[in-house]
Amino acid sequence: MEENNSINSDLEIAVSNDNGTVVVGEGVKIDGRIEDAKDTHISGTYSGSVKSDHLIITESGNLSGDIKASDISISGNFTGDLIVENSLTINNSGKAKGNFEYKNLDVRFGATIEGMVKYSGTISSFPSDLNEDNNLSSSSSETPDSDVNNANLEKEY
Amino acid sequence: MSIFGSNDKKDELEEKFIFPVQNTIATNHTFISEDLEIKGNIIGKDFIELSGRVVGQIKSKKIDVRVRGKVQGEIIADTVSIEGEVDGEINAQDLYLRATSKIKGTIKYKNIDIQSGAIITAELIKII
Repeated sequence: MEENNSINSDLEIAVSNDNGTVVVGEGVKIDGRIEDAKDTHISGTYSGSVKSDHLIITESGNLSGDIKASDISISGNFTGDLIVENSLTINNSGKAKGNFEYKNLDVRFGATIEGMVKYSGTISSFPSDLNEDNNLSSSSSETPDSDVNNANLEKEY
Repeated sequence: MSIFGSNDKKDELEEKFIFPVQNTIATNHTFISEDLEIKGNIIGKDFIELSGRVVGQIKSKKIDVRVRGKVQGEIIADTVSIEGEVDGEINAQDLYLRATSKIKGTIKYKNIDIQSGAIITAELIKII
C-alpha cells in the first residue's frame, strides 16, 4: 500500500511539472482520448480524439481521429475531423484529409489538404456580393428567392 | 516558430510575385478591367488577369483574379492565383489563394498554397 502511494505521488508531481503537455514520441503507437491538454506533440502514431490548446503533428507523426484545438500545425499525416478555433497551418510536408473548420488557414505550397473546408469566422454574408450583383443577369426578378434561382440557372452555362 | 514562419512566407511571396511579371512580358496578356461584366465562356492560351466580373467559364494557361475580380462559374488553368471571389469550381495545377480571397464551391489542385486570411468554404480535391 505504501509503495503504491509513493508511486502515485511521484506521477502527480511528474504530470503537474509538465503543465498539460502530451508527447507521443516517434515510434510509439497510442489509441486514446486526450482532453484539456495545453500542448500536444504527436511524433508517433495516435488514433483517437484530441482536445488541446496547441497541437503539433511533426513530420513523423500520424494522427487519425477528431481534433479540437485553438492552434494546430501539421507537418505529418492527419485523417479525421478537425475544428480549429484560431489558426490551422499545414506545412509543405503535411497531409491532411477530412473535414476542417477554421478561422485562419495557412497551407504551404506542396502540402496536401483534402475534404470539406469550412470557414467558421464571422462574416456578414458569403460570398459577399455575388448574390446581390445577380441583378446583372437581366431577369426581372428582385426577390431573394428568385436570385438564388438565377444563380442556379447561370451555372448551367 | 512564428518568426521563422513569417520569414519563410515572405520569401515564398517574393518568388511568386516575380514569376508572373516575367511571364506577362513574353506572352499574350488579357486584362479584364473592373468596369467589365462578362457572361459567357472565355478561353485563352496565355494569361488572363481579371478585375471585373465573369459569370461562366474561364480557361487559360494562367489566370489571376485580382482583389476586385469575381467569378461565378469555373476557372481552369495551369496556374491560378485568386485575390478576389470565386463561387463555383477551380481546377488548377498550381493554385495560390491569397489572404483576400473568398472561395465557395469545389477546388481541384495539384499544388496548393493558401494564405492566412483566405475565406474558404469548399471541397478540396487533390488531382494527380
